[in-house]
Amino acid sequence: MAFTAQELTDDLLRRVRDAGGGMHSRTFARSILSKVQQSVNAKYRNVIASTPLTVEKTRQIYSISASLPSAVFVDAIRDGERDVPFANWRELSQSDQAWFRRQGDRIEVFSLVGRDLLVLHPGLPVAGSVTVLFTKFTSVLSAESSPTEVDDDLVPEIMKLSEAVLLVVGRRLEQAKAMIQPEGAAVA
Amino acid sequence: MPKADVLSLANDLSLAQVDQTILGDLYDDFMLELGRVEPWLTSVAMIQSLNGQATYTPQPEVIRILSAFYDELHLSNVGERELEETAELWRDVDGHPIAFTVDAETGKVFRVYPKPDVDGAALVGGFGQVTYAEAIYGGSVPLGSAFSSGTISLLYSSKRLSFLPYMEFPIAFLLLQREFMLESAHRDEGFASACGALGTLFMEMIRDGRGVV
Repeated sequence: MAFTAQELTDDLLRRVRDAGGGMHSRTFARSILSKVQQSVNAKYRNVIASTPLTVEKTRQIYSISASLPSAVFVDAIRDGERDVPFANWRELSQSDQAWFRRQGDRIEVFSLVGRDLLVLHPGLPVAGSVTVLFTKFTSVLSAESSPTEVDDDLVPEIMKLSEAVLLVVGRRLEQAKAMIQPEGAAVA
Repeated sequence: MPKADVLSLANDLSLAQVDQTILGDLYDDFMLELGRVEPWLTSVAMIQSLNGQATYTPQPEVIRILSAFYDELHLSNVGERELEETAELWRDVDGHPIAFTVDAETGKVFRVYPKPDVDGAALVGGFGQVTYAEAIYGGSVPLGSAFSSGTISLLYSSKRLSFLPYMEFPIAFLLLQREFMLESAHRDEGFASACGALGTLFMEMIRDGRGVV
């Protein structure tokens, strides 16, 4: 069962001894919770979404931010029932010096160049479609009633990290320090 | 995420103690540094080659060339010394390019080897250089077999107006780390250090080694 932003905000402000919101407004606290939820979801690849992507004739390279604006990671590509395997894009050149314009009957591999280019290789002679599974950039907790999207068992980590952020913002650095240890942040 | 939003977030996280002008400069510097060290923002561009012209200047948004192609052929990235070993007068050789070398001084201007012996066909779009936006989003310029012949294509790390949305949060902290380490009336090493730790922590959470180049 999802938590509401109101519940998390109440808890967060209590943790930093600011229940009345004198130091941090509820809106600010909620915005931190939103961003931390997005980060935690990315870390665990917890909320996964899928969407069809139109594959244009002969085209192999797609901008992820343009085609999949709510994706943090492209996790998998499905061509019908078939999982398209991943290949490091450097391997494409190693196995085929002409991969950049290669065409084939079906997409054999997908690849990523940096964080914003998705390669579907080889290009298709006719337009088609694949399904992209991606880690979602979770929605902003825009209102007190907004629900969390990640699994409930990740909420303690969201709270711990959000607390650390507010402590840093409030310059309570010694208290924050223990929470920002590389792995310590995961311990609620 | 527009630059203004990241600066605004950083300002909020600092309780409005930052120097917005300096923070803006730090933002620009950070984008260039990231593009040189670990390309997150990547793009593709095309350049029309010219008969006898070996040297080309890529688009201004190019930070680092990751890979280059002449038509369908992947060009090997080699140093000038290797080319000198290939042929004493390698700069005069013409033919179908098989390699490229990036000017060490600019890190961007590049030379193809051998230099093309034919003019490239005009790129679809007709501007001599197809911009990233046209190449990626323009339905009339598919990145496939509809390429004009004699086209040099580049995969590169890019300088843009904004980072990807999920990068906003860590980058705001990393900018604060730099801003509060600088000499100023609000210099605060402890706060800078804590922001650096948070920025690094959140950056690690969104890192994906699969697209590393």
